[in-house]
Amino acid sequence: MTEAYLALEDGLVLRGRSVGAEGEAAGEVVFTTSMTGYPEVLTDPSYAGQIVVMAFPMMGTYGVEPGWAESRRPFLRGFVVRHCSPYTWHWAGRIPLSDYLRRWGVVALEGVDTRKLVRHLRAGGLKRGVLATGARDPRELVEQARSVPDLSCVDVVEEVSPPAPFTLPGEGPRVAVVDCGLKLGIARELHARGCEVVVVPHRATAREILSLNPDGVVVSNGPGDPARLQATAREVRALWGRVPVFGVCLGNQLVALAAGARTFKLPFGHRGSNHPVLDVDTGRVRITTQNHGYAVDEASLAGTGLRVTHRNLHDGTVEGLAHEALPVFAVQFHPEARPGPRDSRDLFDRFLERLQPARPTARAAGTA
Amino acid sequence: MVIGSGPIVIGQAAEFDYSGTQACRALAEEGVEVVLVNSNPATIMTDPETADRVYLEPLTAASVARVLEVERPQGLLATLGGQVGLNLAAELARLGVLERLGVELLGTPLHAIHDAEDRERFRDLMARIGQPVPESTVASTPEEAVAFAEALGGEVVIRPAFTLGGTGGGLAEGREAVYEVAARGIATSPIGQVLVERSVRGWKEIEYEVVRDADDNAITVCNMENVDPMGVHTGDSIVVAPSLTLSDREHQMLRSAALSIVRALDVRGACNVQFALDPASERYYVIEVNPRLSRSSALASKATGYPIARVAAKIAVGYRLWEIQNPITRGTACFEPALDYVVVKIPRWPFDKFADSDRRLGTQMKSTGEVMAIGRTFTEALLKAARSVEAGGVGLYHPQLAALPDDALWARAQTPCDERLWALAELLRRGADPQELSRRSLVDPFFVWELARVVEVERHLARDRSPEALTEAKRVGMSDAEVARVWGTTEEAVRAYRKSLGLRPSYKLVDTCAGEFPAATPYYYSTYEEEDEAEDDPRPCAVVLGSGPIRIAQGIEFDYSTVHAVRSLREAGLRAVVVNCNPETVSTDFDISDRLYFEPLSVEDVLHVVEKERPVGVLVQFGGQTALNLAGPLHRAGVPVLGTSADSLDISEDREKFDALLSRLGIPRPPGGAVRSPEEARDLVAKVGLPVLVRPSYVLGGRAMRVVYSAEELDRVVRAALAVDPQHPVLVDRYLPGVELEVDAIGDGTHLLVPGVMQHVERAGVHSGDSMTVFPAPHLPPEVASRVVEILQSLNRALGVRGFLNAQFVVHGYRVYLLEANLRASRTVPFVSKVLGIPLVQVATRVMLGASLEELGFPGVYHLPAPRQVGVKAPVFSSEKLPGAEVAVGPEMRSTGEVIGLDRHLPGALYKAFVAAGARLPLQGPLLLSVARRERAEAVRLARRAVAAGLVLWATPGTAEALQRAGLPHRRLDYGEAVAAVRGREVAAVVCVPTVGYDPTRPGFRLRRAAFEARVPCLTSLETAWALLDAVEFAQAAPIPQPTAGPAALG
Repeated sequence: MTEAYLALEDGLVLRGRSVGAEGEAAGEVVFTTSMTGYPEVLTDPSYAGQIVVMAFPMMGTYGVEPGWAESRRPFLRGFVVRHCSPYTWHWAGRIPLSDYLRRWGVVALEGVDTRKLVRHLRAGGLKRGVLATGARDPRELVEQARSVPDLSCVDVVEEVSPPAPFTLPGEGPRVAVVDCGLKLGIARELHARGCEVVVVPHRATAREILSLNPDGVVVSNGPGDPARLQATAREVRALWGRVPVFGVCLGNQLVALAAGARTFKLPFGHRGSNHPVLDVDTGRVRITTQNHGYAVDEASLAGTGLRVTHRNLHDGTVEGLAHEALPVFAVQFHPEARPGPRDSRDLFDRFLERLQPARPTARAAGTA
Repeated sequence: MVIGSGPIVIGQAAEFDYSGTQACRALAEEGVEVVLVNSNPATIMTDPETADRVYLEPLTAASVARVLEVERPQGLLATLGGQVGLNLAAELARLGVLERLGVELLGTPLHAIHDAEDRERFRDLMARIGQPVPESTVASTPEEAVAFAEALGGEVVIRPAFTLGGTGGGLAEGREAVYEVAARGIATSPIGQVLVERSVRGWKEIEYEVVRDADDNAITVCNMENVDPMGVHTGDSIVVAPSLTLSDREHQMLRSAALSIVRALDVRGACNVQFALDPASERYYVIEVNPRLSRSSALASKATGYPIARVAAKIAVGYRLWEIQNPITRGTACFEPALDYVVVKIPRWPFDKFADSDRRLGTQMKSTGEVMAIGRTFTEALLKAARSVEAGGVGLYHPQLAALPDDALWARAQTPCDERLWALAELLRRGADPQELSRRSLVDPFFVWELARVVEVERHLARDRSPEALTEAKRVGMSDAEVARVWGTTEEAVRAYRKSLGLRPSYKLVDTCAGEFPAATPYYYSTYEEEDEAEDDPRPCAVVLGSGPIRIAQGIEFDYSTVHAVRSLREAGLRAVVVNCNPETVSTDFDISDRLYFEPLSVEDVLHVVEKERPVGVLVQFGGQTALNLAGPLHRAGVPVLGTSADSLDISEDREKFDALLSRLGIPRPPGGAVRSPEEARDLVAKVGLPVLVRPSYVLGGRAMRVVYSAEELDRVVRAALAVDPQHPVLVDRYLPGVELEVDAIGDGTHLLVPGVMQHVERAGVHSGDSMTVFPAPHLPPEVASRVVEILQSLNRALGVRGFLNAQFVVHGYRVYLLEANLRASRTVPFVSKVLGIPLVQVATRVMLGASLEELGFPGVYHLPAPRQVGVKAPVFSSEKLPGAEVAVGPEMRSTGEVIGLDRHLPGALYKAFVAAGARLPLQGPLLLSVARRERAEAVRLARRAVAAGLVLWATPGTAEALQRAGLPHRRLDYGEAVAAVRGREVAAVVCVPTVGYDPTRPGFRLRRAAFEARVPCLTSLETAWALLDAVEFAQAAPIPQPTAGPAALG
């Protein structure tokens, strides 16, 4: 059994066993409290550039089934767990977690006090860190962690956004999805509702998107600092009034940036499957999946035409926006879930409902 | 008004005291005036501090209606009192009482309760919302059940409608089996119906705890996975939280289903939803919904830290979920807890007391209680739970099972039974293939392989005693005792080695949020990891040991005492630290103590807490025998035991030392001695004479105890008792029939506080826990009373008692004999405290902390003034749930719970006690008499009084002959006719005094079982029958007087 280390920039070093690929990984160390759904977490592109700590200690207990993946491969840098089950007996999840991690070259560590790590990150804020296997000098690793570039200085979306558009065929409305690190769940939800889903890279211009003649546009989730995506935000702004827009997670932040508002970095982010979000209009609460390190600065919304539609009940941060006049709305949480509660799948229905009055005969005209 | 759940029975244990107490406090916070009705005195819920007014009254519709008449509350909250509370509310509504008195039913509306409980309505609703339920039918006759089962083919499950814990149900395949189980189920159902349903035995059983408000906000607090798959009642299953073998897809599928069901039902509060999930696909069925607080909700609360009862109570008075605070994080209660640990529950079964009962587990719940353990991994939690449950094993090793041949172990692995966990581990130890074990036991391979992992660590440890190997063993969850077994050394030696390595546990917080937010509640568990979150607190503290799982002879009474001890420690300015492992209890609620360590009550785990907290001492007198047994080891490890010294405790527990003390003090006890063979027993009996009381030494609650009337029986009984515990001799004492008295005194070695004397209705020989008890004792001759006090004071001085002194006496002839003395809080402490309106535990705690009784205002031999009311404690049995078990009372305790009857006069108190215990009084009869030959003269006197009271008498042949000779009118039945009459509920009550007992081949045994199963009141001692006649005459004469609330809170 190979030893492995996680070293943080502030000097904290944890020693455990390697349960993934051999090697070294560097990135921002974050934690999620989702108790199930490690295959989805592993393949969520929003974790690109990050080392993910699972707060729930028993991982791999039901294996991995490749069909559960949320993207074409894991994009996270490293994976830290308390216990990685060496076997799986699940009828669908037939690949043991550690095999899966090795297959995709994910460096992973087990056997460490993950609760200590979570509390450390919660109290002191997220840290840069290095995960390394084999006999290592902890002090050296700490030094290395200090030289890891900050996530806000990296264009990590480049890494995850697809090189070219692709389409999921459907008979219903055509929806363009701007892929900034798209979880396939979003595309699957739209597709399941009969949409023709055209996924375009985040570099696509508004003109290119509109040339697809979409009935609506979804701006996806994705990794990194939204403030680095001003160009994408401008293109999103150019769509307003031309076609209904629905932003998810990073998409929510891009909608805000598009309107001239600002985002800021949360101390340790929101990552988990249990965050309560209040729908300001109905007074109803939904339990949501969250995975974001940045949030929209509410004060900066004044005069942008956007209003807050959803609010996080834990810290009051903005969880949803809608434009006063235009068919533009967005949520900071993940209505596609995967992992997490399916409480918010109705938002896709609401989005599709908005498409109809906007361009009632678009598809008919297109095919006529 | 809040309805409690009444006595503890199988399927309804301490969890409702926990949830009821938490809810009452939550209501009080909102300024709501709370009126409480409950018949169970051994509860914190019925303390004057819990509610504004407390009625210790029977939980029948008539009785609760009388309280409603007096109190005229605006609302009624019935979802806190388990199935009893729910059924009462439904009945009060049906009778029009609620409407007539303008009482609104709070929380979940009645239509939701009916939709969930009425199988047909529930199936219709599920069909409407597209949720799958197993094919089933409702049958009112066994023939209907058979017809459906035959059409369906395969195994069916049969459950009676409207009963607790699946009473009277079972799995059946084939015509005859279906007929038999259906017939039993129809008889136990209050509406005479059973549900016959396709069996999904072997599927995963998954539960969700849902909370919803009137605004339709809904969350799931947690999900739980049964390690024992479908086919075993969830109350009898080993359960893990959260689920471990479900993918996120499966979990979210079931979570969404649970939410849509709870929404469709319009639940406003808490609800439990159970599913069966195919282990090889995403197919599932909805199995059961409980629209109320439940055992599962209590477990989910303790497992997550989320106070479900509190939140449900706030919802009932109109709050929206997101307006309620989560007291743990001070954030909103409208979120779903995230765990960063694993919780395992193991049930505690009463088969040690009911050795004659069928140990197999099925759809009928048989456990009396449960333990919960928290660890960072499944194995750690499982091993902690296995040592918490006190089932005779060392971790996953059980010496009795280790002695069995392979085929006997395979039988236990294949058929769900209480020993299955240990059988699986033993088979793995012998090299069984985990895959085959899983296939034959239907336990998910994941769990079997986890057991195999523990066995693998054991194997490694056997070869390797290195620090690394020991660290690995501790991290997998093994105790020092388990390591010692593998190494063939002592627990002390392992502890010393481990300490030399600096290997100790650290403590982590249960915070509802997996560390995402700072948490305010001090609720800890141990694990072997780096960071210890239990920060040192310089303020002085004392540790109170709880009593572990609810079991027969060690029930909720001890949790009551634990909680009061905590309160008085805090009043005395000390931090109160609780160690306990029972999730159903008030003592393990998040805000009762200053610190809660949810840990096994083992020497190792308690020592770790002591090392962590450095208390002024440990209180061992409140947690029953579990806590008391730790006194010696703790004392030897240098831990101060507060109160009576460990040496004195040892004397009181050791027969020989105690006998020596008594003869020195001149205190008479029944003659007898210890024997190691049937021959020695015969010699002893030749000296002391028959009848004798035979029991093994060193066992709890009179296990395997018998009264022996003949030389032939003596041999058999002594052999059986020797078999229970071959290490120790069997005690044989002359059985002295007479009036039995009991006192819960408090001593400080000099002064003595006597709260009064209790009298048992049944003669000595019936276990005190199974006797009806009257307090204060009526017509107690002053010379007897003073002799009792004299003996107590002499023990107080000689043993240097500091704290409780419970003693039982028998008055035989004109002499007072001491039967038993316990230097701890007894089962009757809450009963006596409730009748007096004085919490005795608080006085005892102060004495244990060092105050003298004189300082506390009780100088000399201080008698508390007699209470203004009379209390009668009546035992409640769960024998109908344990097929094949003897139901007659005897020296071995069998009751699971108790009720109180309180009135100004004895007959009224007796009446209430009988009614509260669930007896329908035989106001006209027929009363069926079947009495052992030796008691027939007394039976004739009883019969004469019954006839005078207007009762019709029936009798079995021998008894009939005696009645004939006495010239009393009666109808003679042979045993076959008698059993049939009982099954057909043609008789109103049965008096059946056994000749031998415990012999299922005897007609009397069958008659008693028939009575229990048909729920016909069955009295197995003539004294109880006399008391019943008192109650009958009271009821015949009455109007039943208006109830009065108990004494108000002191101070």
